[in-house]
Amino acid sequence: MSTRPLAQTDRSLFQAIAVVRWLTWGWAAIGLAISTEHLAHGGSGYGLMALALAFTVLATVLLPTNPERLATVPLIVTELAIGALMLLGDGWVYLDSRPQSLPWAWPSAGLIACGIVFGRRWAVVAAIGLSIASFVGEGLNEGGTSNWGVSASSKAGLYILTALVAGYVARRLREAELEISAARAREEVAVQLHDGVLQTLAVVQRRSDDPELVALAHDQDRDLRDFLAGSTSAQPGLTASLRAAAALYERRHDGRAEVVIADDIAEPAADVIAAVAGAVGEALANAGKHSGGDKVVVYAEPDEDAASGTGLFVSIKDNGVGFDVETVEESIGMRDSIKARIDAIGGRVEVASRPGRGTEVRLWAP
Amino acid sequence: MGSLKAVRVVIADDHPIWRSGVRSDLGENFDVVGEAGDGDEAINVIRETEPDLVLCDLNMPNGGGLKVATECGEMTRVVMLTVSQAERDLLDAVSAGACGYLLKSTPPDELRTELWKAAHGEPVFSPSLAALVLTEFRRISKAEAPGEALSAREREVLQHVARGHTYKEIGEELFIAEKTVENHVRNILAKLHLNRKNELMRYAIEHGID
Repeated sequence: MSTRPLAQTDRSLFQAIAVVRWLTWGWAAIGLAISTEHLAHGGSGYGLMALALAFTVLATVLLPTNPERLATVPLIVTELAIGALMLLGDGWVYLDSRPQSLPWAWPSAGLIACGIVFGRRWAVVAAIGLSIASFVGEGLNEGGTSNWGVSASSKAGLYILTALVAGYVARRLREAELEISAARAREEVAVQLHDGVLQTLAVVQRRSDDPELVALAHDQDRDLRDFLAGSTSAQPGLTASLRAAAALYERRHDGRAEVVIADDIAEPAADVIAAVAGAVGEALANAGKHSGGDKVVVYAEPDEDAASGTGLFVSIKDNGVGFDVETVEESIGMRDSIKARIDAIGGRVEVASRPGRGTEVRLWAP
Repeated sequence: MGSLKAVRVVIADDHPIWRSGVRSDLGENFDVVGEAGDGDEAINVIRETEPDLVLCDLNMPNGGGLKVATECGEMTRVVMLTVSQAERDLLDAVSAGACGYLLKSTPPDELRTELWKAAHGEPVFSPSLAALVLTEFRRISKAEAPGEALSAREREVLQHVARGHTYKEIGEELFIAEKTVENHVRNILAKLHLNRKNELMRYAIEHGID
């Protein structure tokens, strides 16, 4: 493995492991101290504890000075080997009956490190290795504890669980860190665009006498704002499709379409979005063809009267000539494309208009 | 008639090219009495010149639009100019005392009309601002936070503004005078302002800030 610099997440994880090493070593030391009368080969016990202590100290010293080394194969293998030796030596150190097991907790620190650096799979392999060492160690001590198999099995289970959890948690933490840094980068881009490009586009629209240049700047301005809104909005589906319908209207007709969406709308189901966006597109096309106006507002908000709690209200209002709803028959576009779409999802449509006061199409979706 | 006099304006924006662009767009009905490139400078210029109207960029060095609206919102009418309505500070600026906002890409004739109205006491309530305010009041009522709720009529008026109706159309549809619609909008702004003030005070008390 390379010695790439450690990411912040890994650094904090290694700090946590250092604490685990000290705590588990202390635990093992206390266990040893209170069971000295059961020791068969005390020297080996002290030797193993010294080995574990040496590694614990080394890892602690490396943490501030050279933390990358902690994530390398030799160090992790050494730690796992010391752990395995302790588990193997357990039976030899005590030989007969004893109330304590020397080392079961300390090796788990090495497992966690292995899981963090090499992932779940290698950690499970290491856990199986430690479990075998534990079975052999407990087996040597057969005379001592009658249920050594149970004890070794529960340790094996614990090690494998530790390995799985360590690998999983490390991966999720890294993913979270990536997501956060990606979001931060996007926000920085958004700020840059706000302060720079959007300002420039606004100046161009204000200062240029060339209508084509103004139109181009307006398009770019809208696309960029849509992009910025989309990158922060939790509901790209509805927002994006309504904005797309508005953009189409602006391209085809000489007018502006303002899309206003309340930001507490629950994202509707895909079929509702498709039906609403289609109906809005049709209503905008009608406004472009028949209203004679040059501005349309598309507005969407949660329908608070809806029983479902996820209802949606959408209106499309132009500033055109309007018509008398009583006397003018429904156009084909109105009947087929708007009503049919909204009927299909169980919603309803109303049209309000008066001569000289523009036209408003209102949609309620369940 | 006082309303025929040119409107005395201060323009605050950190981009000089933008200020000169707006100045040339405003035309003869507006008299630019001062310019500023950041928040602090704007506050000083406004205090010196006492303009009828302030056009203020939301994002400026040294405080920006929020600070200007907070400091000067009661002595003059502050209209925020912003490049995008997605900015979170916008509602704060309006709650703090700005009487509305306009997008910087608003075409010159519309800009002049809206600013003329703003200078003569009408709130510049674009549909997207109305939607922001509606959302804010929904949030308050859902959280059951103590605060002034909108009356049914105010909510209705605000919803019409969000849907793109003019005050005149709203008046006709609800059978009330256009002036009454304007009053409703002003009351809504006052409630928003009050709620935000109370929220800040509650926050300060809860966190032991005097």
